[in-house]
Amino acid sequence: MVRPKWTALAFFAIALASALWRAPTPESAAFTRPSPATPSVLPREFAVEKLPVVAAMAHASSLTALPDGRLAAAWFAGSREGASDVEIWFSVRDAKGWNAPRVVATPADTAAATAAVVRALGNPVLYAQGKRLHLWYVSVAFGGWAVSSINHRASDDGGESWSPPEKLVTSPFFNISTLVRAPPIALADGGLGLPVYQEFVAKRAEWLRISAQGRIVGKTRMPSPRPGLQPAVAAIDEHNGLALLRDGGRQPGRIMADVSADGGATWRESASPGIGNPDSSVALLRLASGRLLLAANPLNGRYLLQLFLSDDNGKTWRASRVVESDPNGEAEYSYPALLQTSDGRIHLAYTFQSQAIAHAVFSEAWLTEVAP
Amino acid sequence: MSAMALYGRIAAALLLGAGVTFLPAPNRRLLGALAAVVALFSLAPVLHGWMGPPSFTLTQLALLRLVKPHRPPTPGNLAAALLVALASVFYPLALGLGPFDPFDLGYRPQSLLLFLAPVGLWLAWRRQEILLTLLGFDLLAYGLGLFDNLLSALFDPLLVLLAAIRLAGLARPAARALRARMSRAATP
Repeated sequence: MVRPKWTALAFFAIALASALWRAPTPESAAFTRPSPATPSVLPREFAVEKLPVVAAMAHASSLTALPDGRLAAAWFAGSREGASDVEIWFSVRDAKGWNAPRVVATPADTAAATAAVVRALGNPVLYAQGKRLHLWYVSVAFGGWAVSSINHRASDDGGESWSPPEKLVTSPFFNISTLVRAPPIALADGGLGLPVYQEFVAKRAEWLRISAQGRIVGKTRMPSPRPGLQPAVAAIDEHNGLALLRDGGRQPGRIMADVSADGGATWRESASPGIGNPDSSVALLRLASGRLLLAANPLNGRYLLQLFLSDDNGKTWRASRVVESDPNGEAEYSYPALLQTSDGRIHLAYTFQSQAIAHAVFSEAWLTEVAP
Repeated sequence: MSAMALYGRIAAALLLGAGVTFLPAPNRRLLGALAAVVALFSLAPVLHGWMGPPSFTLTQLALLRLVKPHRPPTPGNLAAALLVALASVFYPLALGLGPFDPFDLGYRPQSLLLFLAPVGLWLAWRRQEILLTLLGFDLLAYGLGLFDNLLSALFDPLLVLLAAIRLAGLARPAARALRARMSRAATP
């Protein structure tokens, strides 16, 4: 008769082999090589519009370009931030303008699909990867944003239908305190690098490496001299990347920077761009021309939204256009999202007075010309 | 609903059912099983929302408790002590105390798995078949794709809390005996 010890040991050996077989062995990290720099030929242009208003409060927009070239946006809206009626909204812009927004995630459908109580939703991130449209968004079961976790849905028909939400397991402590705000960066192996952050015990930026199969295969801290949140990342080339972080520490704050020289596998602190930050989200984009574009609130408040340009991969920055400004210092123009579409136009979405999402579209010529 | 969501809900129901077996009541096994079934459709999503998916180790222990409520807790004191010691370093680091997040090790766990191989042999040598089997099921749950992070399958904060409570329960009589010995020694 086989003794229990040997039976248990044999079972353990089989289980160990199955775990070893399944353990991922990702390739060395590398960003997808950005397209060679090509100067913009678009004339000077600028226009601004509002997305359709769906509720009293709207915040935290995210932009992406669908495979057919149309622009898509996601944001959260409801009676107030953190309320249980906040939902994730989605709209597509075609030749006629922004379509009627549709709800793509609610606390109820997220709770049903994840088999867990969900009290509120927040920050969506929309990203088109080939024909697949990804949507990550934050949810909380109790408490404030510091105890959030991230959910993911995908659409293969341009946002018409979505897969059931799945919760990402990103923390060993009750799976809380991982949030998302800025879009991912495509990796050379077909996966994605998703910048995230935690703020439960310490405010720290982090980098999730997601495989082409959608599995998390790595999680790396992004260091910062002060509490760092909401990293916005741009790939400079296959190996080098720049991340700009919101300053979540004592004010007055400043934008902080991290760099990676190994495709996001590791990050180290870099010199701050020297731009102020009132604990407010920033957006970063590498333009087709090779320049870097930054959208931020540089003053001690969210009442001025400005663009900055860098010609040297983020080593130095110069102020460009002011997009919105309130001389009384009371308005809020915040949470920018940037995107450049294949026609060369640059799109900026941002929270307008916490009531609506504004969408500005402009050319690089508008950015570089001296303001009138 | 994903496999992980379904697992989280069932595991939360089992935990609640196992918790009920600690109540001083007759037929605790039946009561625990009933509580688990009721919880599956009531409180389990709340618990799952609050604590995320429990580790597979904790789920197995809950199941064992439900099946044999009168049996003493399974893992040994040494395992509980090691778990508490590990957690006292692991969780502060994972929650942001420092530049390194040890949770990352569980996403590509080859080195952890190679470390667990001799641990399994040691458990077999020490005739700790139950612990060895629990660990085997943890690895199988990871191998079958239920968990993306091996560390999530192995332990969680509630398991650590239960281990700490167990150690505290052991420490109390020892402290009492020590106090008695000291007071005897102090008596002239």
